[in-house]
Amino acid sequence: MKQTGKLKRIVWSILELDYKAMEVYLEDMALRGWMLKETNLFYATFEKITPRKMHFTVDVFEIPKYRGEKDPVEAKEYRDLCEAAGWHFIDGKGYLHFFYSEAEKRPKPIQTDLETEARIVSTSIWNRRLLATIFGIFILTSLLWSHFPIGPEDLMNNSNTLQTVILPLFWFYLITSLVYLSIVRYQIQKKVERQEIFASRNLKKARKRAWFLVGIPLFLAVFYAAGMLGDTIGGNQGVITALTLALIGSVTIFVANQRVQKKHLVKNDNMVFQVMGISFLLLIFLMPLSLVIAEIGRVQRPLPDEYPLLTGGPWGDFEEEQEEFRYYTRSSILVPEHYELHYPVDQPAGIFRYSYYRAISPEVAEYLYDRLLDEGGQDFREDHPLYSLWDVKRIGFSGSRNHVFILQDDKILVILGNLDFTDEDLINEVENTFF
Amino acid sequence: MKKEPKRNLTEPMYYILLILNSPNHGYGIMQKVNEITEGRVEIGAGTLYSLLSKSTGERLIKIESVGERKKTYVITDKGREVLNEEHQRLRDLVRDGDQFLKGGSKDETNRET
Repeated sequence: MKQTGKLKRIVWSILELDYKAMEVYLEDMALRGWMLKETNLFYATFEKITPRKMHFTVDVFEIPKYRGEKDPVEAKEYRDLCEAAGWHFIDGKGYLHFFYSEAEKRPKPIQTDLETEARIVSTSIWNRRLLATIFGIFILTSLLWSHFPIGPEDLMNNSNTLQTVILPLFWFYLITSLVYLSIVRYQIQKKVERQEIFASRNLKKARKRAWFLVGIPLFLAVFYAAGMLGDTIGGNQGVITALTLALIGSVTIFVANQRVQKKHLVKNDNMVFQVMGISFLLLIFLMPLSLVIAEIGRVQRPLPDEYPLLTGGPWGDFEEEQEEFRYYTRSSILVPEHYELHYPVDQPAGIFRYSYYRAISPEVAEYLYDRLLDEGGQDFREDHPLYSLWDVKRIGFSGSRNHVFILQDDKILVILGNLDFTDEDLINEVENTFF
Repeated sequence: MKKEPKRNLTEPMYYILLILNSPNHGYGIMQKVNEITEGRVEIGAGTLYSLLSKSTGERLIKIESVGERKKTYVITDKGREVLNEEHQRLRDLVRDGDQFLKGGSKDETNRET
């Protein structure tokens, strides 16, 4: 075989489920002068050859369970048997093993019994994918359960806001996949019963299936990653922490992989490392979903000039002490402006802090206001004097009434302090500053 | 103890058990099947490997020795019993078939065997 050494890598656009369609693809590549050299789960490396017709066979073979060998005798014997039958081994990708033969030779097929082949394919590929899908549905259902109703914290960063759309979409996608995979699995069973070839070699159909089963989650992941990137640029510490941990996880997997390859440890050890790494990644990916973002998603930094700031009024003039103020800002698509201002504790007026929110619309603001009240507050009754004194849409309180919630248009203000909220100066100062 | 339901052996399985009356390895089995059946029955490498693995699990055959690149298999007592039963079943099928197709009587066929 004349080889020029010129290589190219192509990302697989066909799933393991369509392993027979891969044969058509490889035959087509050989006709165009590219011969499969090696492959892994994600991409295939092709080497330039003289274009010609070749035969390829992709076979599913489950390597026996871990016994501490790098290349078990079963795998060697299986390859030797295939070689003896006239199939030259190229490389393996998971359960898939790639073989070729020159066009003029017609080796005996590696699988000669439909029922046996169907059993191997079902256990190695289909059942695993179905189980993974069911597991995914289980995880996602619990995530959905904890995500809804969307709390104030979820609206404060893009990642969690996007989850509101992505989680239901992904759940729906997994349910659809489960139904689809079950139907196809059933059709295969029926075909085997009728002694019909069950593994399709239709490349177009295989590509469509890959788009459906991989393209959709990939799109959702990119969408989510964009949200995380937005949060990172916005300086959200929670997301930055999560991404840093994810990076550590990825580096751990990479180093473990290198170590395994270098020391020629068994492939199954490699798998153990990968499973550990993936679990680690999953764990740290779940962290920003709740705790991390909620607790440390705030950034202490200078307040943008355009943000309204309460610096005077009945509790004194704080202009000179602004350096002592602590601002925590966050922003998201739905709540573009938010900050929390912590005044020094020993202020004579006794204000400790206030939070300001500006949502993208009055409806979102009102939703956020209700969620903030859900955490232990309630609206003042309509006959309360505050209703006539404040020119705002809604006003509520929590605790011993030192926590006041105000909603007007697309803005919310939450003030914590022992203040007289009927004081005209205070009302004017707040209304003029914020509303 | 609940008795396992009896099931017929597939053609490849029948030949594998037959050949493994003497110890043999994968490639040897493939060649032997081809030789005995004069190419009528073909067992692909993947199919053979899967059948060997399944039969080992069902204790119809066992691994006699493990080399660097190949394993040698041999039939077990259980395997021999299943093979004999299948052999008898096939004989009965042929006898019954002869009775109708060749016009022979059941007694004659029995005498022949």
